[in-house]
Amino acid sequence: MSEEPTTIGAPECEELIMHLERDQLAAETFRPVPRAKLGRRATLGLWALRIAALLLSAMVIYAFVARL
Amino acid sequence: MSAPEATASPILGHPLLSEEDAARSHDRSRVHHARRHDRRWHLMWLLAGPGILAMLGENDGPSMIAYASDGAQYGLGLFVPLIPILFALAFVCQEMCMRIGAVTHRGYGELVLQRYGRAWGWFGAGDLCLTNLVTLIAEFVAIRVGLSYFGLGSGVAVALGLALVLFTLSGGRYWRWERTVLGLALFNGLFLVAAILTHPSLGKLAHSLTFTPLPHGSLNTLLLLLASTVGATVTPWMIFFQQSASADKGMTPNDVGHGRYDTALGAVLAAIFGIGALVAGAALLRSGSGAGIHGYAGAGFPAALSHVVGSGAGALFALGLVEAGAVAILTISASTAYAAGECIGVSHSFNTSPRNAAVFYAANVGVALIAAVVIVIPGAPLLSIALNANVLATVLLPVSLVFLLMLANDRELMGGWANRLTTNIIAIGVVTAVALCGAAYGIDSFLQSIHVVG
Repeated sequence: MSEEPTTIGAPECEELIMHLERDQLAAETFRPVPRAKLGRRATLGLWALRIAALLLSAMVIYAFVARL
Repeated sequence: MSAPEATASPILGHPLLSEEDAARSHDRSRVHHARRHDRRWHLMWLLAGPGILAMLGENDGPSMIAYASDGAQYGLGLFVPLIPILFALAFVCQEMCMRIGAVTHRGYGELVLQRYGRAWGWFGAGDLCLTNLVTLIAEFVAIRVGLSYFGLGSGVAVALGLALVLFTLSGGRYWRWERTVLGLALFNGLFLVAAILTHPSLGKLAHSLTFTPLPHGSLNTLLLLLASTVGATVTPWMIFFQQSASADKGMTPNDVGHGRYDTALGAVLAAIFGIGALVAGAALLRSGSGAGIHGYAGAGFPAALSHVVGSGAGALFALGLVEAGAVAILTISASTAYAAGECIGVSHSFNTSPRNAAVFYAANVGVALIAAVVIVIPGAPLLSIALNANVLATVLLPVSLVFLLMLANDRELMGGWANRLTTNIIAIGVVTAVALCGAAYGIDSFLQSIHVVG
């Protein structure tokens, strides 16, 4: 999905741009940061966390339904 | 991820500025001017906002009812010293959000999605949307409770909440949105005024700082009370909101010091106002009326306070609930909108017009609208939703906190602004405590539902 923002003309840029850091510009923030390289232990830890969160969520949802 | 069209300017060699950049640049020019002329208080005024809003947003309707309910059932002991400690813990987490937002200029959702993969990004956003939706329902309930004191019903609560969302979004500027919500959030102080009207004993208040008297009840009750209070100190929406709002505000590494003051001020105000609600509730215990107040069964809290202390305190408490619910609706809807825009990869800024950020504005209004519809459904299980909103947010919080800690330690992103050893020791301790309390709270809630514990 692409939404094209209204842009400001070049002559108006000079004064405005001095107040912003370059990586603060909207166009720059849309450039994705590189993917982090995770070690095996970190990946396993994150998977354990995901499973634990899903299990606990299931418990809470069950408790919610049981109380209805 | 679809980036907005960015054509290089032949004059400046910079991408052409979008309307979002122009609005942010205007705000930043005032910050630069204040800094250049050493106008410290003006600089603080300009840079305050995300921290205060995150902290006072957390003093939402359900939280204030819970504090008052704790005061009415258990008195001041344990809670008066515990509330400031909890907000100190919240400060540790929220400071990291502010710092990451100021250094990377990106929101939490997009950083998790880009650094750790789409699965984690969408998992975080999904868990946020779910918990936000149930929390928003609870906020509308709180507004309804407050308005019912004045004889007004659900329809008015829904209209008020939605009108506020639409009004704050109408300016097309982050600055306007932030200042409007900030002005509204300061009325969280009504709980403090209500507490003063109850004429609390300063001696007992001072005595409670020694954690005495401890609440009565079984060890399980005490642990659950502690877990629910600790676990609810930081919520997923606060993490998404403060990081994204700091980036949207245009904060930079130069502003991190002021961002810390902003977050600390928010924590102090939230702790004082939270204690205000607790003390107001404790007035019912003094009068012997506290036994009937149990969480959301305390829907008649303002009326009970009015009966015991006087109509002024009751009315202030009721207005406080309306304010607490309204501010939380605005900040929680904003956090949903930021997460939606960041994960889908489209414009996600209050500085962009609705025409250019349709997803952001639609998510902001949409989530509030869905919550509003639920509370006017006859027979909807609002009590159960409100009670479980907190539990769900608590059990899903560790995932958000772990990624927050990973981002704050990511030297590729943060450079010299990454966490230091001492910050990490404190932050890991906080994350572990919150995670354990959250897990205990969730498991206890489940065991109660299958009648393993009472």
